[in-house]
Amino acid sequence: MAHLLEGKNLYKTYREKAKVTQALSDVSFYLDRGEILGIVGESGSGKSTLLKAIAGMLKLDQGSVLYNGKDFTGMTPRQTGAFLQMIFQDANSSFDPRRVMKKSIMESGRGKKDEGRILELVSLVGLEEDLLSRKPSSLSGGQCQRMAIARAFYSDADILLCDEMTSALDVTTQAQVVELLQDLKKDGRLSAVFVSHDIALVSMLCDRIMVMKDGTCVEEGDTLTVIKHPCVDYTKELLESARRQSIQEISE
Amino acid sequence: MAERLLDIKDLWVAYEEIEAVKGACLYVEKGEVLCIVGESGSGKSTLIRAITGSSMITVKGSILLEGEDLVPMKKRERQKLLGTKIGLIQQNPAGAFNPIRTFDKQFRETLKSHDILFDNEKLDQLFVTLGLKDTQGILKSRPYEMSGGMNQRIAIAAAMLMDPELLLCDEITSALDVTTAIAVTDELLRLKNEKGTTIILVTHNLGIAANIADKIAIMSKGEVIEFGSADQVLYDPQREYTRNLLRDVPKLIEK
Repeated sequence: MAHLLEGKNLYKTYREKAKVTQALSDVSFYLDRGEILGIVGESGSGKSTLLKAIAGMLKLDQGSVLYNGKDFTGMTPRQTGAFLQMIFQDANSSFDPRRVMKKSIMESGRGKKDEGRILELVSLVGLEEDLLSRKPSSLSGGQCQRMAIARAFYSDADILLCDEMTSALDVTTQAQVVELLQDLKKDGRLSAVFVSHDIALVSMLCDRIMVMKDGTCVEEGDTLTVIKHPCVDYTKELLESARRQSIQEISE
Repeated sequence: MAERLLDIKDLWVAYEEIEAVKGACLYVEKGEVLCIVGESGSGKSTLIRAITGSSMITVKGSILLEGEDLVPMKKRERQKLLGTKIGLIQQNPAGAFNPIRTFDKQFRETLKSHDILFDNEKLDQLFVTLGLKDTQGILKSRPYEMSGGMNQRIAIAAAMLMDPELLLCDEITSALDVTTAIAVTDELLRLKNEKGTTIILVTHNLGIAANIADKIAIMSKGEVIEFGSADQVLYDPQREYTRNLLRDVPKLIEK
């Protein structure tokens, strides 16, 4: 059976004056329904480029992306929006500042006007109804990020592409968003690609991990296998940093 | 007893009507790292601003630097302390540089204003430890050409180049990758061990604090709710709030 989402041999180069950056070089991946794929790597490793290329926000030089086995390479973000939705690091600026939340969410439904569904989703992401009549500027970062999740679900998209979605949040709010994603995953409502520089966070959430460095995939596999038996030095380095920042013993 | 470099006593800071810091008491001894940990809006950055003496805030209480109270000092006197005696690195490095002048010019200018000689070798060494390759290339470039992470590391290098006695770091690792964050905290530790620099690091991440702190202060809603040695706060927290913060640090799942 075809994968829910698949990328085959993706290439992308950025050219700026004389400077050429190979942002993606022969990257392949897949995502099955009900699964979260974690992509880890440092800034500049190509993680965000990969997500943008999948969503059609960037034009690929080479390679193809497939949804349920059907090639959708070259589609615009408006077209891909029917089955995949991006969630950005800065949720606040992903909403129209002059519109109230309800309108922004409604807009993502492509003509669908189902207030009941919006209320249902807002309570699913753990927010109060009255926030729907507010503008993004009067919501906190965590609230905006939850609204972004609700909006993505309202569009009936199958797949969430999350780009460092918790990096701008403080640890406490981050923990709440992660908990929400874990719950949604348990219910089988969530298939997502989760991009983060924090391998600890990815380990808590994802079924599989792909490690990226300099535009290539250097390691890929089941989360526990990668964490227990990393093959490349770069992954070991990422794990070492994560271990040094964790306070495991005491929190048990 | 070791000498207290900075001693904050019953400090109150308010922005017009809003009280951002309420009766804070904490201190840091010479050569120590103090981490101030709390959520957004807990008052931790305001506390840092009170130490540097930014305007627009009113202060009650005292901030003793080597026994001398900073609160009643004139603005000009306090500005003199900045740079040499007190270094400040902010979360947003864009505010620290002129975006369209080369780093080389800005570094030289800053050092000159404090009568310190420009030492290329020292800068090179600092750049390497902060994970910045190609010192000369960077010096020739301008802040707007750099990524946020790069600018942050260059801002850290700039503050460190001055060898301040007390280095204030406000969420400097928040915008960085985990690996870079560790490299930066390592560099702070090296500074502490080799030069005896006293460091106050503000962060929302107790994981970072666990990695570097001698003392930890937990702030919530403008109050310092827990203050003690890192071991005390991390391994025997007295407050529910601290226990929750500990729980929220992402943990690598290895089983």
